[in-house]
Amino acid sequence: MPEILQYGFMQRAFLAGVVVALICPAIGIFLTLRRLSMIGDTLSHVALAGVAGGILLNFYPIYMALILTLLASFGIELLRKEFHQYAEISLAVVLSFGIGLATILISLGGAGAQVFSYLFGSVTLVTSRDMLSILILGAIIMATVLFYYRQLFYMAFDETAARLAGVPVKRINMIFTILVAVTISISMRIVGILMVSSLMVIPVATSLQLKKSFLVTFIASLCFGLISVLAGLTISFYASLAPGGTIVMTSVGILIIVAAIQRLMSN
Amino acid sequence: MKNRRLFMLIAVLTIAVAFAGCGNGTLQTGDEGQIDENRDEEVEKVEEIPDPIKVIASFYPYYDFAKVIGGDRVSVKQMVPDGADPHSYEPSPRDLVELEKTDVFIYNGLDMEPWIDGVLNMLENTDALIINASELVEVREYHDHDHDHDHGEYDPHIWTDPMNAMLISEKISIVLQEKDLDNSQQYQGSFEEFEKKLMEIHHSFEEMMQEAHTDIILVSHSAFGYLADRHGITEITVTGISPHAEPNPGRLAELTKIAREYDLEHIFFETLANPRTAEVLAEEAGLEPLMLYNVEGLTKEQKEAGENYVSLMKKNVEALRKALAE
Repeated sequence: MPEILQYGFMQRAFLAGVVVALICPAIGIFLTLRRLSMIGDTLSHVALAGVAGGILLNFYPIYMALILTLLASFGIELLRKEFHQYAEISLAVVLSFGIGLATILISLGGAGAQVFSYLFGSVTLVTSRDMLSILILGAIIMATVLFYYRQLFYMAFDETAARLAGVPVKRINMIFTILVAVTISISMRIVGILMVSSLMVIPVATSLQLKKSFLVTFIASLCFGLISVLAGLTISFYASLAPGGTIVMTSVGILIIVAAIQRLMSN
Repeated sequence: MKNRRLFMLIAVLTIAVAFAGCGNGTLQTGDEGQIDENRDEEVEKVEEIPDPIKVIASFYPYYDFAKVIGGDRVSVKQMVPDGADPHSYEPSPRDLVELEKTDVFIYNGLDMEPWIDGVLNMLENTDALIINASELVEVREYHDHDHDHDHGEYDPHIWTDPMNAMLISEKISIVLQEKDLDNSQQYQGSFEEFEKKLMEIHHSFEEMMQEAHTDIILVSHSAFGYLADRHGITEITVTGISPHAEPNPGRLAELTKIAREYDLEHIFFETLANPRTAEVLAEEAGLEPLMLYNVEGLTKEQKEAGENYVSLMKKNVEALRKALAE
């Protein structure tokens, strides 16, 4: 066995990384097409406010973060309809709200450093218990996305047409919104928000460069996500770099290479 | 055509920047200098004394204490590099590999290291001895001046009081003796020597306080609560308790008033905290800035100048003397 796989923490890192590499682009592709690619960063700041509020009110900070993230993602959903040409406005509004609220709550009470310990996650520090929750989460998300694949696909391009064609848009939007909020608030604690928010977008952006059918784009984004995580973890191991950052840098590197090749071939 | 060239240029530049970024990252996260130095020492000693005790300290003060107590019998590694904030640090896989092989692990606790749970979880399966420094000292709660209610959060900056440093170093010495009985004399000896130096600093703080005409200091980051409590100093913080939190305008005005009311002429800055807000106050209230070192990590200059916990604490005595006793 190569050195990199001899350590328990690296085995768990690879396993958790693979699950995250599959679920993030799988929901990320629908978010990106709805112009909501910044949702990871937005909800993470709301979660920060949730944790600070939980500490202040002496109520489980993690559940508080989950509740607030859920409310915020419904808020984003409402605002998205309000500004439906400019869906990213809804993210900017909720992001500002999250940071503002977090700043007030932190300055109110002695939360300070404690806030960060609730939100800290690193792919190399995944415990066996985390592993279980991420596997369950992964299974639920992949099953839901595959089950509603056609409806989600339809809605991503034209919500009005989808509704007219008989797709239960409201219900599916609700399920999808809950899914996104739960994914972000649980996985940011396990593998770190940097990895979650970037894997939702960058592999999708890379596969959009291929300009192929939706199904190919979907599968390709999962593959790019996997390559980023596997290569990023390996590089971070041998070069002794922070794993989260290395995975993101790898995925950006892949995006640039694919875009460059695409450019050369089209000329 | 022109477009394509531009695109390629951008792509190449981005890749170059990405790699340059990686290069810098290695230097910062690896803290190479210190580790290599230790390794060289190890190599030299290998023939006479095999297997040095491996100690990993979460950040600088504990690295310094372990090095002082262990001397050349231990190889000490510091996890969070100097200049990095322990709160936003992410251990690299190499750190974790070394951690699995370590004999002794020292950390601060009290949420100073948000990543500690994962690390402790990993150490469960090894026979490493773990020192949680915050369990060795009497922890103090944050006293929030604006609000009466308390959330039970404790001040994590335990090492800023030399008397706490003494308790922690004593524990380090005991743990090293446990791991390496043959050399227990040496560990005990270096602890006693270090204890003397710390007592000396403690006494100079006490002497300074006897000459003091005021007992109030203004600081930019509340990191000196333990030291202040020990010597009856009241610490007034400009930015609240977290270096990340924004001070509210009401508090700024209040502090300007306090500075005038108590006739304070100095304000203390720290090495690693953002001094912008404190500078505003310095202009508003005419306060002269002084340095008070929290010794959470050394700057490059301090490292080159060969500073350590003891030397920086001595400078703190002088800075406080200037503000309180002159």
